[in-house]
Amino acid sequence: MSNSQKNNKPKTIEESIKPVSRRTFLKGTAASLVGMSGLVAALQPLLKLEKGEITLSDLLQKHYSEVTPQQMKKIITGLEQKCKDDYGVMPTIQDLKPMDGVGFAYALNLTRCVGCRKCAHACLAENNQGREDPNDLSMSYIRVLELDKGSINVETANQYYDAETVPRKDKFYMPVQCHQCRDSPCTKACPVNATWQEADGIVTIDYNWCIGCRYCMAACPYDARRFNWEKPKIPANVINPNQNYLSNRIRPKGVVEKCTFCLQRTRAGKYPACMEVCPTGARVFGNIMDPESEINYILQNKRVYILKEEVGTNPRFYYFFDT
Amino acid sequence: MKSTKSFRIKLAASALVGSAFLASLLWASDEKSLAVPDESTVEAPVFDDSHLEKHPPREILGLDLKRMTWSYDCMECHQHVEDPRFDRSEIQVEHEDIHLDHGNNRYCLNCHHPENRNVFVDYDGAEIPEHDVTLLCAKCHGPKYRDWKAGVHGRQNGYWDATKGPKEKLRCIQCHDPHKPAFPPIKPLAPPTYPKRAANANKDHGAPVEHH
Repeated sequence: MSNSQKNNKPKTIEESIKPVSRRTFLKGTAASLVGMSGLVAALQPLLKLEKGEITLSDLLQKHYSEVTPQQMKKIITGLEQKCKDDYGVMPTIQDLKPMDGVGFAYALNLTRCVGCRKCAHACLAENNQGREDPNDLSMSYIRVLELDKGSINVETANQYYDAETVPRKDKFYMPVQCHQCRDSPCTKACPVNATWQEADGIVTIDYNWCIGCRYCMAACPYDARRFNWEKPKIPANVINPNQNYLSNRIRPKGVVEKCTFCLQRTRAGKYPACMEVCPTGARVFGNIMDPESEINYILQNKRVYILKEEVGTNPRFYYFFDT
Repeated sequence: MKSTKSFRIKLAASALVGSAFLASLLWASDEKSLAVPDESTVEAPVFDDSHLEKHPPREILGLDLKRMTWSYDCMECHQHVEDPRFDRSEIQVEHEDIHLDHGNNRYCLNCHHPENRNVFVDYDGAEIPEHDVTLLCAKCHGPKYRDWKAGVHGRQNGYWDATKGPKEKLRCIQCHDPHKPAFPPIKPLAPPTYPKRAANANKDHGAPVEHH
């Protein structure tokens, strides 16, 4: 009670406007001088920059800078010419950007898939993977697993099945490709930031930046990434001229590649190649940001399964069951 | 006194340098924005999908004949043919290739209209025109029809983005034979080659592991 009374007591003018004494003034000046000279010392590199002793990028401690559109155009023209020189086919390389309000997601109907591998071969036809034999699936982004009915046990899955006809009795089939994880272990593993997630959810690789350490391959729980052990050999007649800088342009030797949901197609509004050829319509692709899209219908109405959900990758690829 | 003077000089210098730095940044960004080519005027290249096998799994012969301007009027014959409602065991001249294996359906007229063979029949005897064949299937397969309409049963081709292009939706009979709708088993395409080193390591224990 007495406290509050004390506090309410009006202050005298001397108390509220404290005149600056000589001592306080000198103390303040000295302190601010020290501070300012420290700041100026920190800004010394700017003087050096003015004199031309260092460049702007040295100053920013950033030893690379973002590629300008003109530089990108030059790079792409060079890549197109290189493809023409090395493979005899003149491609059109684009650099399609993520679209506003679009996030891609994929769903695959495990009840429908019959394991015919048409998706895996269409992937080759679309994405210019290195292969001497056009039907060599080793670099395909899709692995079709054959599993025993009753559980989803990928440990005993078999991707080398060579049956007369599919589906075989008591088996079911699960194609696995890049899940475009929202929490992607591969992008975290990359020591040089050569792989990252784009705004529409696609995890991409800059093949010009990749150093080929393969850490991302070790990090991926879905075996989604492939490595170019040698300079890709592709017969000219199977080269797809519709190419994109971040997806299916022909890769150099010693870099990692992966499924990009065919972004050279999907960012132009089309469906991915694997979906276009599926004979049973097991594949559903769309914009997850659009509430009316097919993919949202599945997430709302079907029994959805996430492969290796327990590893916390939060993928954009879903499996579902039907009747 | 002296230190204050040097401070002033330093301050002035840093202000100068700072503004010069900002100006250079602005200049750089100006250069960028000025020289960007106008992307909207560049026409997007068009690519065909000839490298992909996009044809529907099943040919629809009858409708294709009609598209080739055949009259394909079923009633030309059927006005003279007896009503097969109670006897479908003796398919006579024309349709001997049809073997009905469609669930409980044992009668042609479960789907075909008894009076007008050019159309299909609804539960109440109403006609379902040929091009609305999906409605005929929907008579029994309601949930599938619902999924198909939502675009999650059956394949879709073309564009997911309606603003960029059309979407093609396969109809029931472009995949399923209406008389035998179950999918026939198909030959799978070539498997991946077994990695050489792994194959050699596995030699002692038998060829590539196949789990049965």
